[in-house]
Amino acid sequence: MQQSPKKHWRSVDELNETPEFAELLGKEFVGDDFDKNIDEIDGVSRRRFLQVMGASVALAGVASCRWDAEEIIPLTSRPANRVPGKAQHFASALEFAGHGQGIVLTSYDGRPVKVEGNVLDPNSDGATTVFAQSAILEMYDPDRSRSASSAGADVAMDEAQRYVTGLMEGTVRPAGGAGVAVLAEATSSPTVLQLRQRLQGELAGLRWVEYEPVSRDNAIAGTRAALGTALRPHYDLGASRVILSLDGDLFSGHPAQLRHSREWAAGRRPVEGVMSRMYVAESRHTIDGGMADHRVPMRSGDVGAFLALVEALLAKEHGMALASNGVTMDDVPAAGAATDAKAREVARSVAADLAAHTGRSLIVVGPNQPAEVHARALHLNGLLGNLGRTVKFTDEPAAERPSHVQALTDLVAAIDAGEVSTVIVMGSNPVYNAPAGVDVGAALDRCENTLHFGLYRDETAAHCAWHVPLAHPFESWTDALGWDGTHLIGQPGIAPIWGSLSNIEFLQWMLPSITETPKDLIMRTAGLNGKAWRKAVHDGRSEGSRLASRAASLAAPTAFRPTGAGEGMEVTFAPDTKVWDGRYANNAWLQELPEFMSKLTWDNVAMLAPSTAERMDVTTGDLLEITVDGQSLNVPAYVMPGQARDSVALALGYGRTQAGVVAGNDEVDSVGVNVYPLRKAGISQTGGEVTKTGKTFPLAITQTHHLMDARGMQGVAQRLGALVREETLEEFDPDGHDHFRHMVHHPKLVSLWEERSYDGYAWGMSLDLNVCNGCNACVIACQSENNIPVVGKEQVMNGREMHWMRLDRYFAGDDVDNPELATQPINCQQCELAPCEQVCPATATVHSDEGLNDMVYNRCIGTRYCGNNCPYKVRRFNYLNYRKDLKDPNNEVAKLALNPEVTVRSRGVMEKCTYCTQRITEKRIQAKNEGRRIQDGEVTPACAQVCPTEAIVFGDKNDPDTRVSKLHHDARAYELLAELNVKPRNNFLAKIRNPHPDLAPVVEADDASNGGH
Amino acid sequence: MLGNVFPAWTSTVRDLLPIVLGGGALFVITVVTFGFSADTIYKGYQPDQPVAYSHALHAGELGIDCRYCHNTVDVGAKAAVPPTQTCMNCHTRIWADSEELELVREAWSNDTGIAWNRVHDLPDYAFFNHSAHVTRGVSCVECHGRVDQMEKVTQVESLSMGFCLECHRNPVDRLRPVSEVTNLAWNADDLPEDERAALRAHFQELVDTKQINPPTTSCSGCHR
Amino acid sequence: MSSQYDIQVVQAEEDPTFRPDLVMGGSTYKSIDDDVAGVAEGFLEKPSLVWYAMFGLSVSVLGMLGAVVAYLLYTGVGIWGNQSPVFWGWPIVNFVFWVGIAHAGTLISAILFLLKQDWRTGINRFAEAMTIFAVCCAGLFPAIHVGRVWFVYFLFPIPNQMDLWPQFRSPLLWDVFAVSTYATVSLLFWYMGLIPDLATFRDRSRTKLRKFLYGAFSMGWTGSSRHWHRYEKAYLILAGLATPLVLSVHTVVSFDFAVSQLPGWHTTIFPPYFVAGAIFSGFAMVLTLIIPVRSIFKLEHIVTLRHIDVMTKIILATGSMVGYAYALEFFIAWYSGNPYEQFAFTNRAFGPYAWAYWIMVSCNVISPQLFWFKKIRHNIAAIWVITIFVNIGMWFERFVITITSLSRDFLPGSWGYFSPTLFDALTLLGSFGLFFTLFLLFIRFLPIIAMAEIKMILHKQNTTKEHQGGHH
Repeated sequence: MQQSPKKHWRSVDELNETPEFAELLGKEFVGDDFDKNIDEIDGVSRRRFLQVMGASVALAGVASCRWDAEEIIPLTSRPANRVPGKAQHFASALEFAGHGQGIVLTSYDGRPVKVEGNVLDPNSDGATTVFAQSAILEMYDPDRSRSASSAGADVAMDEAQRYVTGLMEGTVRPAGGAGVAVLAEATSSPTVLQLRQRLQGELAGLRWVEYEPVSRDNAIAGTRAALGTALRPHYDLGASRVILSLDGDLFSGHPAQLRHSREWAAGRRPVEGVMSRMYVAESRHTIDGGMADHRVPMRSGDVGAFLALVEALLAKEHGMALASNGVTMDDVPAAGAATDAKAREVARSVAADLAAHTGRSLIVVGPNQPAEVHARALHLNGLLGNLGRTVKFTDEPAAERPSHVQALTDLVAAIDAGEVSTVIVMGSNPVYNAPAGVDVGAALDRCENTLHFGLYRDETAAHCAWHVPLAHPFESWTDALGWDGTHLIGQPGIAPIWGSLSNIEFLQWMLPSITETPKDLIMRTAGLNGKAWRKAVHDGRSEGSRLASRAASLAAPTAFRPTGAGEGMEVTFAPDTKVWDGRYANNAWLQELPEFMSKLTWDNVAMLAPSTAERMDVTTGDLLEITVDGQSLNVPAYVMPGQARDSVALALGYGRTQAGVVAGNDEVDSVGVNVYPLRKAGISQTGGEVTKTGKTFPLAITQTHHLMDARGMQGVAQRLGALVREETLEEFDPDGHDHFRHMVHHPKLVSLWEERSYDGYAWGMSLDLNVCNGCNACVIACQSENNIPVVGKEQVMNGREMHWMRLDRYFAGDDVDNPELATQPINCQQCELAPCEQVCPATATVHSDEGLNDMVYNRCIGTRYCGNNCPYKVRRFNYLNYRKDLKDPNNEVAKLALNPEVTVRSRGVMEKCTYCTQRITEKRIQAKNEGRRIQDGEVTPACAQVCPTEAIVFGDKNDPDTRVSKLHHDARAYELLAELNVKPRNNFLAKIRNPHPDLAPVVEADDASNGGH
Repeated sequence: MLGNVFPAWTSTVRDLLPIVLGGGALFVITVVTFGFSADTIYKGYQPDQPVAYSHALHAGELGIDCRYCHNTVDVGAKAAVPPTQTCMNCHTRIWADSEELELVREAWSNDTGIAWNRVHDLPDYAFFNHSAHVTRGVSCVECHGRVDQMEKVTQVESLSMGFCLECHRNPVDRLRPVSEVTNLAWNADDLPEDERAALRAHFQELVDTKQINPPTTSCSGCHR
Repeated sequence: MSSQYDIQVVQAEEDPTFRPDLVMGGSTYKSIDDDVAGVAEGFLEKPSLVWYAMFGLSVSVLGMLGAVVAYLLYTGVGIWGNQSPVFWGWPIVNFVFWVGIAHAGTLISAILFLLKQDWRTGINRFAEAMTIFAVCCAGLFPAIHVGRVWFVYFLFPIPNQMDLWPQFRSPLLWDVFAVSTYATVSLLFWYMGLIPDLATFRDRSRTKLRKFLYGAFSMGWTGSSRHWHRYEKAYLILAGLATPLVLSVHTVVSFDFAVSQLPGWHTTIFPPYFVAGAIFSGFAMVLTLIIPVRSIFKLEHIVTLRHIDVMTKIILATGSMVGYAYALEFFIAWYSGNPYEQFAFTNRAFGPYAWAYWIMVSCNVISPQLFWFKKIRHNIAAIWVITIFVNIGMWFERFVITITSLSRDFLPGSWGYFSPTLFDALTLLGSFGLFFTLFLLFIRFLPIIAMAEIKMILHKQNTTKEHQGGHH
């Protein structure tokens, strides 16, 4: 196990960074070592582990009035560029459902604690998704598999390796791979693909099956149908003046969602020119729909018909018809939500807008829609001259692969037919997430040899004889392709904590002939070496790598006669915005993250339209029985404004039974309900029955104002206009000075005591309500950066969630089935005259000379008066000790996820957002040491750094040239509750809607006038 | 006499009672104030070290600069305890086989660390940054005392919050030319009158104008 | 008509010039000693089972409180229902409730003393005792409701190595001083008054132990004219000192709310409104306790219907003030034109906590209005029931103020609904355990009526009678 120091440090000299050193750490935690003897962890090997960490807190418990005595155990020799306690940043890569994201790891003493986006990755532009943000917690998850196992018993890795080698030599190779299948989750890693080809080359008979429960296969089939070959479409939302999204997932699940958000936001800043207009027709209320200027809720099954209607109107009213097989008004189904009067009204404007913006418009279709809708949308994009302009094409790497569902079904059939008796599962978890009727578990049980290779010992591992732990992407050398084909290089940030293997290393077990290190393999794939390679590793991607772009030529359109969903209830399935297809289910950060639309934590629900719920006499929390083809499940109802009538939306990814102590395992009940058993052949929409059981189910919802009494509703309606200020593009005057500030009238404000002046830095923040689309990334980023605890479902139900950043979500308008949506990110406003400060008897919260509202945890005694007196209610109190779990030796590893720059709060202490004061301090000291001022953009709080739409901007208000100062003088700028004379440092930029002139805005701006006077 | 119940002398007791009680209270207060003051508790802490390393010898007699070992002091928050390698830089040749250094050689060859006992230890919620001080002309000696004269390192200051504020509220007297930061023997009084005055004026100016603006005494300066 | 001593009161109704005696039943100085001291001594002769039963109950409830507090300190304030946005819950409600109760005592002893209201003598000792005990209960809550009790000393201006002082702008700090001062002065005042009576007890005691203890606490009182002279002086001074405190304490407590900017709290009417409410609840509690006591221990001739009648009138008056304050709050909310303020109040009356609001109104505003009727004022049972309603109502007043305002403030995004836990209830119950334990010890071991003062009244009464040739 012990490597010669020489080799160890040579790699350091090669790369100016040293993830490897942390291998030592890994060695200390290798399975048996750890489980065998906990004392040993706190004794010898723990010391070694801490030695690697640079300094330790080995509590010797000296009886004295001093603190507990500490020991300092320095490294034997310190790697170059390592300054104990100083942050280092490594570029790396992460795969999300088979598509790469460039990221940057922040690590202290060789311990990654935070994920950031990589500005050099064109797919992320430095932003990140909630999934990437929470990957840190995943890596340090104590529930991860810590060792290989055979028949449930832990075994050493080399024993597992002997088994695999034996299997390969004894069974697989002799048979030329016949009867052997590798069932893998999708990956874009070129190196893994090369190894796979090599393997299949050597073993002709070997089946390689790729399965993802949530896929874009419909889109691929659609492009194939429309273009003859399957190409990958890339949308340019920046260049699109008019966007029609049909059940789309542009901002919520699309592999390029970060780029989409960034480009879309760029086109939604009225001061910087014209604004794009967005139409959305969808069944569930997604954040894409929330951002629409006009949204038509309709069942997924009706969406095709709506597209047909648009096409027909284009032909009828603008003379833009397809060469052949065009849709005319007669072909459009007369009945149905897609084509009723209201929908026609919108469709007319859509058609008009599209016709008026040829080459600058865009029609996108979501992955849940059938292939023919995708194909038709492409034809219409062609008709509108968008191809090559707002829609560009590249090769589709997965073009040749059969659809995921097909592949899995075939494999199970083959196993049943006895054609396959050896199955090696790589990463995928089909036992849990296979479509209804495909019993992978039983199939695996039938096989002779089964091996599961994954992060967790999950449902599938339970059906496999052998298990080998997979290394987290941050623990190993990986590579991946971004959506646009950028080759991302992922260096490890730490050595495998449990000595687990990467995909590459595991495949090398099956291909003993390949002896290079994973790093060398990736280097070869990238075709780089020397300086170029080091640059690629440093940048996290090999520059200029892209998928080859292709000019698209449309085939002749086929007939398109969508009939609509017809009568009856529709059930739709979609990946959850928090745990996706279930792979992130054991991530407590994500489980406790309030889902943006429903503000629901720790559960999945059946979303119903208010009108539907009323008809069925159902309210939120009632337990429903949902039946699809005889299969029934009980799911709690949630009445969701904006959900399509007669359509029930179910989120995948819950009801895990072998995930871990967070999402559920043998000891802990599952979180939520597993709805995969209702999902036939992976189809995302189907007919079904929904009935009331009469039982109810408790839900932990963090924001319930839309579910409350009439009096409260009035109150909200009355003040909403004053809180979230908005206008339409027509009303908006880009040169109007302080127009929005003065929307609320109030008497002259006088301060009770002398106000202080700020001559140094004056930190301020600007939040753009126009582009905040509710992606939630800031919430998790803040949680990760600031050591914010997770409190659990019961505490959330009791209103004790701890998030410092909260996304308030308001519905407006009279039509509950199709409300307008307003989002408002709320963190501490850092009031200059902070109400919290003057009521704290202990001086635990006071003002800094840079205008920060400091919260001094060690001085706080927890009177909670500050919380009462905060008009924004951004303060969070530790009612209980939410860190108890860390006392459990088994959770030792979870401590590694904590940010050493931020105090871990004890019970009985108030906490809140501090604009990431630790980041400010770091830069202030650095700037002072270099004898200069902090530059604009040098300090970025966690929330602002991850924001894909750049809705959050932070900086020095005193310097007129900073972005934040300019935004504070923007025509849209206003302060929330300024009439209280608290002088918040946060400014909001008012929301500007861009409705089509023919369609009256749903909410008149007069809300603003009757509110807040 | 106290009614018809108690003997006469009890009235004197009654009258003395207030004085006794008052005095007692005063006594307790004094004991607590001085007995539990940061100075009493923290000063003079002098734990044994696994290796009898003498700062007096290395930093004092041999005059090795503090930053030879504590080389991160001016770039990072921590003035890191040097890695074993630093010792071995010399001790592979000098005293290469003294048994006092047995432990060091062991740690070096087995790649295990040496567990030094921490002397100067701030609570975890106080974030002190060395580089911010030494690059600004605050000498090691201000907090650590004449380490160059210590056989065994001892804590000479309370390092309490009051101790920090005392200096932060009036920094000029504690500043010295950055070049002299690690010269623990340096003393402004050794300078001729006029030079000292000039220096002081210079520091005053630095504090007011340059990036050494008055040290922030905001809570977030040290607590996050 | 509950006893033969009530005739005079009836007479007074017919002939306004007639003042009923404050001490009746032809009491003599001796008989008063016997009657009052008899209460305590009675327990010596025949230990009352009733007392033991009640005491046992209270002590066990007190023990339960101890257990709850221990669990609280071990686990954290999370055992209560407090959450976000309702950071303050029942503990603060209980605190304000008990502080309010604590008002009657000093008001009666100090202000009425200065106003030469002789009728106070019948009840002042009793009310003062109740005050002390209520303050004990009140003081408990601010202490245990903070997150980290072990750092509570941060609240006191003690020189420390952090060079830090408490935040003198915070009403909570004012509270610390206001309540502790009030507690100290009330205690001294009460003890001062006790001294002569303790001496009487001493002289009447037959056992050595009692003689010794009462002797020690009466600090050698002999009743010499010098003692009396000093006593009167000191009593007057303390009364003078206590008077402003009666008003200041609850004014400061009201600042805890009024100084904040929360709709429903941020209002200038609070100080007078709180003081009125406090006197209101204080007198109600005095009646609730004294009515059973006077009948059990046959003290109707000392605590006469006249005393009760006067107190009901005070309750009526203060009750109406409180009602007026409720009304005015709504008016101002409407008049201010501030939408948040307006919502806070309509939400109180018609929002999710409407039930609490209407309990409060019916108990505090409507029920005392019955005291307009002579029949009710003379119906001991009815009075007793009404005063209990008033106590309930005043607890709900604090509940309504604290919780409805907090649960829905400015941003609907952070609104919530507070629901108490079992421990909230147990803590409240426990505080009553503490109160009654102390109270039962009081009636068992101490003079529950200010004998010395009664005797003065008796003297006055007799002398005036001689002048007018005496009625009856």
